[in-house]
Amino acid sequence: MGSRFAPCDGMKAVHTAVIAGIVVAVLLPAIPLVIWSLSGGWWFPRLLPEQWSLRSWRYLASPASRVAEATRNSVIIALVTTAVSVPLGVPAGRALGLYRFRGKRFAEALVFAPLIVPSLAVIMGVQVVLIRAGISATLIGVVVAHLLPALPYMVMVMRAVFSAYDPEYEQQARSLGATRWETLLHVTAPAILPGLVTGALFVFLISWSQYALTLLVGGGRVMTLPVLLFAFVTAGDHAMTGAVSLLFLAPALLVLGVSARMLGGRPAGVSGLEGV
Amino acid sequence: MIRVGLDGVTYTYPGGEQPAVEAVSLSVEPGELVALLGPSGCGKTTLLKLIAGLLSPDRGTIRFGDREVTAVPAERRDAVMVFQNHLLFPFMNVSRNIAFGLTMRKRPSAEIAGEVRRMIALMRLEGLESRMPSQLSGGQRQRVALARALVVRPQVLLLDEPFSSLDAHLRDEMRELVLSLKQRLDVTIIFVTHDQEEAVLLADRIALLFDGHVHQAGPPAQFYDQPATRRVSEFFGNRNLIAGTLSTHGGSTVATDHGQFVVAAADLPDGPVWMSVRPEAIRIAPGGQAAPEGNNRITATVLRRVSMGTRIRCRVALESGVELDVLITDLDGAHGTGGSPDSGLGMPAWHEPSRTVQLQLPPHRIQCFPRNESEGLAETQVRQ
Amino acid sequence: MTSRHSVASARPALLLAPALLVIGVLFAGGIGLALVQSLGYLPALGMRTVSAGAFVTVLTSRGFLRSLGLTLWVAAVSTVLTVLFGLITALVLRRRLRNSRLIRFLYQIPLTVPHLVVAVAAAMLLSQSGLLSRLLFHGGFISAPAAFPELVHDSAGVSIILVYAWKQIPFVGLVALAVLQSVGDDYESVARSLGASRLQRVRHVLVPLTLPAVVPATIIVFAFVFGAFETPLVLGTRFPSMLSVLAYRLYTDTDLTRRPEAMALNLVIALIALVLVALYRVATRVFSERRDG
Repeated sequence: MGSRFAPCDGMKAVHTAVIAGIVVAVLLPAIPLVIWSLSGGWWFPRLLPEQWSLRSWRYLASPASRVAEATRNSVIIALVTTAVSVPLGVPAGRALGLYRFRGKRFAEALVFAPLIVPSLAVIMGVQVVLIRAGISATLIGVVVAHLLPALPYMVMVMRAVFSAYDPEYEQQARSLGATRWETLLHVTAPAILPGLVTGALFVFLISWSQYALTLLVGGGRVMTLPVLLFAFVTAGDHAMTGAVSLLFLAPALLVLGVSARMLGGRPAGVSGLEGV
Repeated sequence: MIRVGLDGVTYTYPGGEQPAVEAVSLSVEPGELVALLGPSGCGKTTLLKLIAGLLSPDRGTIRFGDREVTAVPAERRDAVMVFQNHLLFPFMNVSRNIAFGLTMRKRPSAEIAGEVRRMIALMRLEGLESRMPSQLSGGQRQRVALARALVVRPQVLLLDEPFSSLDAHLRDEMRELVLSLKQRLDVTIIFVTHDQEEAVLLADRIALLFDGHVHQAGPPAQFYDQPATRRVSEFFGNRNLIAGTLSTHGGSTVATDHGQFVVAAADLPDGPVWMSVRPEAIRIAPGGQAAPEGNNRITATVLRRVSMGTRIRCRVALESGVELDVLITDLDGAHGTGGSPDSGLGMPAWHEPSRTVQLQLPPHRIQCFPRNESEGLAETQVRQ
Repeated sequence: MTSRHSVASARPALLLAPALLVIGVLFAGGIGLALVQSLGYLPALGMRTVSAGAFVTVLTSRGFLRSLGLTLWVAAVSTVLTVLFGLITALVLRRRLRNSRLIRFLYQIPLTVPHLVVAVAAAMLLSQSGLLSRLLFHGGFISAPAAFPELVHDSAGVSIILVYAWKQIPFVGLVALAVLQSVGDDYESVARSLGASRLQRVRHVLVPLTLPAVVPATIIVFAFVFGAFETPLVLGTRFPSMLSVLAYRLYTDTDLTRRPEAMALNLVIALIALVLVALYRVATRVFSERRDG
């Protein structure tokens, strides 16, 4: 508030330094990714490549690469994971956010624990059943694994949304003559929609970014973008690594931008983990 | 105790178009208790924060005694502000909250402990020392907030609507406490309130603010007897206005649609004025009877009335349609129930709705305020 | 708000059932199956003798102890850095974010960037032939790549620590910011009026105000690093590796008899994480009790 706490000159310098530090620190990792993706050769100690090249981007677009397949799989897996998490997560979030009931603390613990306990450790135990069921190394198996981190996250987001929601609006609507369905459509849905969409976007992102579980359950046979990216990392192909990284990164920025707009500038992505 | 002097203080919030406080000059004497009164948004809290040093004025100076403190930051001024909703630090118990100011001043812990004990006793907070703020009642919280402010022995205590969040009976208790503190401690107190009753009860003097300007400053009675403007008068509960024209030839009189009224000498030039009489100053008598002695009589019709326990408030209409409030305080005398048969409500029948009554406006209780030519009865009607 | 206090549990149970079923089957099932397999019961591999041998093997192995040490070290250091810089940035940004959408957007970017991408970028920046090394070379500070400190594939996990700090600083920062912005300026004004200097206000008022939210967030931050997998896979050493990587290596070992060891290790990881879950819930309860009386 303006002059109320107008920083003195020393503090102003510190503030400016911290903000400059944030900008640099956030953008810095993108620099080598971009340069490598455009390089034809870039040896130490050169600051810029000896040779610029669009090889990696051309290869990315070529049918010979597995990028198309990996992207398609990544999108399908993330979409299905989201499509399952949302209809299960919304009612569960409502129950935890709005009601008091016996066993609530246990339910909350059960939903919260998978967010903290590494999914890899848990899914490794499940893998034997997935193999037995014949869905290991399939898209379905990977989706099942992705649900472990994704679904609890969705529940937690909706729990936060519903604990800030007043169900008396629904009672008011019913007493004004709205049917159950009309109330859901005209009262509940608009109220929870921004939170729901943001939650869904982040669930998509959780699945999209998932490497460990895909590697474990897919066994290398389900090709997704992170699996492909890791292959290029292992192969030491920096140019391809840079290009695929940037492709892999794009939805993350998109989701952030959209959710920022949805929530009117409130921070996204942490709501699910508050006050459990 | 110290004198607080403001001179031409002006402050505009960043991005604000109008100054929140403009050219305010005010002097608060040592040991005085002054109320900054006004409707919400009038700039009274801004003014308090300027005195506290939490805001710094764009123009003007602030003095504590002989020392100019305009540029002294809040943490080094001898003024402590107590906020509206107590703002006790939720992570500190009562003792540590009270000790806060001394801790910040790095006083020895033995001294701090002694001072805290003294405040605990003064504020009657014994036994609550290790409670957290969340475990206190509203009144206790406010007392801790006061103790936390007083423990640093400020020269000036600034209270921002300190009791507005309390229940009515607690509010009375806290007001008593502030008055007794004022007697016992050498401290100049400036407090902000929107409640004119509270200002009148507590303050030695009131400064009434509208739109960032001080409209009137003086002892409480002055706001009833000699309101400086029509707005001041209205803020103090007087909505009775009759349009007229002042003439000072051969005694002050105001010509209105209801005839000539004699008024006490008005400090105004001849011309259009509003004539205003407080509801409790109007005398009322049954219609048709012999009128009360004196001038300034009008006939009116009762529209409605309501018993307020010890008083009766009547809304009456003059022939022209102008409506007035009349407050009957003398329930046992000629105006009240005395002598007349009850109408079933404990109120006499003669001022039942639609009855005709006689009003008399005592000349010395009539105030006149300047009026624009364009303002008139029509406007009064709309306002009411 | 009658429904908020309703004890009729039929409706909430119905709403919760589908999600809890899926989570329960996967989570409890995973842990239960890990337990069975850790005891050596893997009929698919022809292993039917039940024993706790795998636990003994894992818990007493040098590899495990070194991995546990590395994991705790990386998690602890990265958590300290995260909380420190999360608070600093929150304190600086608390009045800035309201005004600048760009800064707000930039600040949140690390939250959504996949770990794998950050790890890759960190390798490109911090390796001995990376961008920073090249900059130092051009500045005349070093004369050869080998003179640049080993930050990648190093035994102290420096680059892993930095990646997690980078990812999670905005998480702690936003948690702290939410508190600072919801309490507004008034507590600080009171402290100021009572004589607190700028640093005293930060130390005695602002930081304590954020703690009820920041302490639980700290536990989450620690837990996330504790379970790190792809970042150490890209940036870590082969020995010691972080616990999740070690478990995965044991699981995919060509020697299938090591599977029980992998499962035992998973259970140890899960157990430590569950302790963190319990700590988290205790922390939130303690703070909310202190707040609500």
